[in-house]
Amino acid sequence: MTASDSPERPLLALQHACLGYGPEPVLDDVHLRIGAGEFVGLAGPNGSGKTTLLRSMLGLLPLQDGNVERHLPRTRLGYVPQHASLDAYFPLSVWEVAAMGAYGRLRPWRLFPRGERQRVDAALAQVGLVRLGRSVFSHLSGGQRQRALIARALTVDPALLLLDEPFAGVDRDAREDIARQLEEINRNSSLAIVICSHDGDLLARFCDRVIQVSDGRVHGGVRETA
Amino acid sequence: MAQAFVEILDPSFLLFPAVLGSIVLGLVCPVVGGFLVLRRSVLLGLTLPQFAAAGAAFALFAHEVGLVPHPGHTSGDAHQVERMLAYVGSLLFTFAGMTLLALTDRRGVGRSETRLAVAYALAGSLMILFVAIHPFGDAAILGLVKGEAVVLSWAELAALGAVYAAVTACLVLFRRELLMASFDRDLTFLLKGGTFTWDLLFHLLAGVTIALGVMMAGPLLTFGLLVLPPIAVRPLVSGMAPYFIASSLVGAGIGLTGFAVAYRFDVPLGPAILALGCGLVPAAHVLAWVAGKFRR
Repeated sequence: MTASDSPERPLLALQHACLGYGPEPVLDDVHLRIGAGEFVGLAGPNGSGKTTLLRSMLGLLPLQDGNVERHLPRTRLGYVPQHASLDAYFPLSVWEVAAMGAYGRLRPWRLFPRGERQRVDAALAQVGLVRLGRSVFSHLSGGQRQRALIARALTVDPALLLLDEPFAGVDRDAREDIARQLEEINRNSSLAIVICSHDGDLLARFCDRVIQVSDGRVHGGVRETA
Repeated sequence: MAQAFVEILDPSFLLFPAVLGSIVLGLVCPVVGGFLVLRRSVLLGLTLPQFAAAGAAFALFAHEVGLVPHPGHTSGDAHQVERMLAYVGSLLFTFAGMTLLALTDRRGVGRSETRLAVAYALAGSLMILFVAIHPFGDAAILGLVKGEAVVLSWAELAALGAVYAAVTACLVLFRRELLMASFDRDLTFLLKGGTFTWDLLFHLLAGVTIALGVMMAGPLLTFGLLVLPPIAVRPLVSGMAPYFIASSLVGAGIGLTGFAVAYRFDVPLGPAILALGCGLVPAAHVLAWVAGKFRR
């Protein structure tokens, strides 16, 4: 089945997609559909191409071949990168990190409006970081940084939230907390969420469906229908 | 020492424009340098002033040997023309250096620090060569590039103030975009469509700031004012606004204090300001360490 066959339009779909950086593709003939309100896991070992897939879904990495359909504007994509990929040298406060999600809606000459401030506060409250708003982002633990980045992605007001290894460098309890918070956000707001992680067991416990990424292929990218 | 401050801050003081110039440089350079430090491009802040100095030296050499016509009739006119040519040469070489570095970066030639090292060596040697082959040698050019801001006139101070005010206005206006493009390029792509515009804007602002700074204060002092205040301030602040405001105030503070020290003890201005800035860096780290102990 392809995206166009579906009676319900997906938020994002890849068809016959070939993804990679050099002449040899990392993932080949990828079929994937993400519908509104879905909670999807991308599982696979390190180096299997999960991040490559996620970056292609976001449009950060052009396809080598095939099609991508995005039925939402780029500014409605929430992205949570691995916290270690961001430079800890910046003396950004947690509130400032979360506020970056609103930058797409603000013209350069505008001050930060009250409504946007409230949205940032609400996003920090959703991930339980209100008390740490004035702390330096780089002084936080791995789990707290990850939650601050989730708050930033929520401030974007996304229709689809994509998270790259949100459990990396995070202890077991914090992983459970983050997964539970994401599950709650998905249930309460009908926000579609895609998490990529090598922890397939954790994904299986929380996600509606888990897509396997291994051996250069994506297995189960399209939901089976009766 | 207090007497030195009183004397240099008196508007009738002969070098009063230079005092104000040091403060203006100290206020604006650290804001631009703050981005260079966070982008881990400190070496760019070292290399571009060398290009600016080489440009000034080339312009004066070209003027002296007749590659550029002599429109002035009096010695005062000639001096004005020389200064103007030096500004133009400084700007052109700074932007040429930035273009060279951007092109080699785009083509992936070598690693970033090796490209900057080669560019620094090239710019430094060009400057010395232009000084060496200048018919009247060292005096004219070395005075210009060694970091003595004491020759600043009221007209030059007005120009410096106007250009730096425009640079500051752009930095304030586009603070969010410049910050996001420096911190997270992927997010900038998603929310603003890419980083090219913001990188270009930042490099233009940095180029103008550096080229003018070098003409007023020389490459070493410009480099020091660009990076020392933000490096000193970073471990002590939480948040970007405090980081930039504190860097700017520290820069102005060491500019003014350095001037007072140079005046009081009759030592060169540039090294006096830089020594103060260098002293602040370990002091700030000790302070941050002590503050951390107390917090725990």
